[in-house]
Amino acid sequence: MAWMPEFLVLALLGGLGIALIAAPLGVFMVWQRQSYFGATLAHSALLGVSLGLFWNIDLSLSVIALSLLIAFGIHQLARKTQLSSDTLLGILAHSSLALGLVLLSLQNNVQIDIMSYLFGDILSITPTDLLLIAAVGLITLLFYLKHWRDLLNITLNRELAQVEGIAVKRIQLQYVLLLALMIALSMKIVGVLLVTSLLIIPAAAARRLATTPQTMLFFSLILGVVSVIGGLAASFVWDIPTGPAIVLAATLIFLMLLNKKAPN
Amino acid sequence: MSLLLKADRIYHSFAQTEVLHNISLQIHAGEIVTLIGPNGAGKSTLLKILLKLIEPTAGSVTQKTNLKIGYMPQKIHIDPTLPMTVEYFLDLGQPRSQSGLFFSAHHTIETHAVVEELNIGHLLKQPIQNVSGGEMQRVLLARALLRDPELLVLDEPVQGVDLQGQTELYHYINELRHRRHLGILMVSHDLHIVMKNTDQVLCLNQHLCCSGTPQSVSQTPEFIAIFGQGAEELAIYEHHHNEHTCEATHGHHNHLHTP
Repeated sequence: MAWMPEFLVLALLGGLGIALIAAPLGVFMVWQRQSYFGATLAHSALLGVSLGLFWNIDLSLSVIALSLLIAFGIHQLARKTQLSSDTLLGILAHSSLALGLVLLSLQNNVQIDIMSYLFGDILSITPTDLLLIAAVGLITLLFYLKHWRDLLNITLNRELAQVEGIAVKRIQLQYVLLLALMIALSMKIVGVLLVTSLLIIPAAAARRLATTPQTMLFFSLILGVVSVIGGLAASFVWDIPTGPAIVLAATLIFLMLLNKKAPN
Repeated sequence: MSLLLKADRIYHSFAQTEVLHNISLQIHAGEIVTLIGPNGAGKSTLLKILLKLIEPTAGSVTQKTNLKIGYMPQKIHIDPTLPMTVEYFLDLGQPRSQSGLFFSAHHTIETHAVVEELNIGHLLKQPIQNVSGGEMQRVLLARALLRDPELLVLDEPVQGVDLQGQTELYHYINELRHRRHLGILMVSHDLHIVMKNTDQVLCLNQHLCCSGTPQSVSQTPEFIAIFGQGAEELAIYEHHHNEHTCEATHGHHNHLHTP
């Protein structure tokens, strides 16, 4: 890849890594109708960035910690209040995003570009980020090798899964943890506002091609990879922002497959 | 008869409202126990407590060590975005040791027999979302049976099944407990066919109103007060039970199931 500028190589590798991590998390998000949950975690990531800057700690770490806190908060509030979960998610998503923006604006001494957190800044990817992406990718792979069937059973019916001896709560918690890691890492690539699209759109498009859960996962991986490559190329050629270009590439694929009837 | 499950003085409340009051029961191998009661009687809550899905406010549930339970939930919603055949669905219910990483097309003779007996062979290649309510009940029962359970827990097993199918399904369940020596715990709110083969009927309305064989239970004033079945033909029969009277507290349920 000597013909490519180094920043583009880093961007491409990072984007592909995130696409590969997003696919297995995304299909379950679609199957379990949890896309708004993912969006809420992603929105709250900006608050994680603000707090990280505020306390001067590593941003990935603060984003992951805050995502987990928000996930726990959703769980607790859902039990305590009468509000439906989509109302709760809406409140949490936007209040944490607003708080994040306010906290950021109060830190006058810090030179930060809010736009790069909201919509990504793929050119800022470093070799360290790539290492982190590879590590999370490996953890995701191991998790799915071990719990693929368990996750499917939980998706079908939580109670049935639990009676059948699956550690439902532990596995769901691990899934959310992976989601938080993925969101933290993909912030540089597509930004907090667009992270969910990377999870949802390739999976939704893959439904049109799949007849089994694992073929849907397979096509989701492929379509995610194609979207990243297409988006990066478009961004390079037409000089448009990379994150939105990747999301639009995925959307384009989704639209092209929309007219195709699902195999079953 | 070996004891499979024992509940001892179960109490349960949601917020300030008590939904279960002092429930004790036992289930043995080869025995059919049917839990009946009007809507809101706490049947589902009790079932969840017995399955250890929720902790009771007070009281204890003891299951036989390593008790293998086959559970058939009342209904199951599967999102249309999940591409899955009935065959795949059944395979997912199998203990992991018997299947591959993703999916094993490997069928034991037993799988074949259960599929035959429940007449779901023609559904195996169908998407799970396409099967009808009655077919889904049979698929769920097959999945529960393929785990080779000692205790079968069925939550409203004949929902969405036509009358002919109901008779067949109950007949099959009854045959199973003899053949496999299964313990069966069943929840129902309709009694016409359930009653015949049941060993023990537990009539639930927050507390156990009455319990016993179908014959004795159907003649208790408590049962008649709730279900009103053929009430006018039955002589009033005094059944020993605890301090609570069902007529006084729950007489307004009369409109349910009146003949």
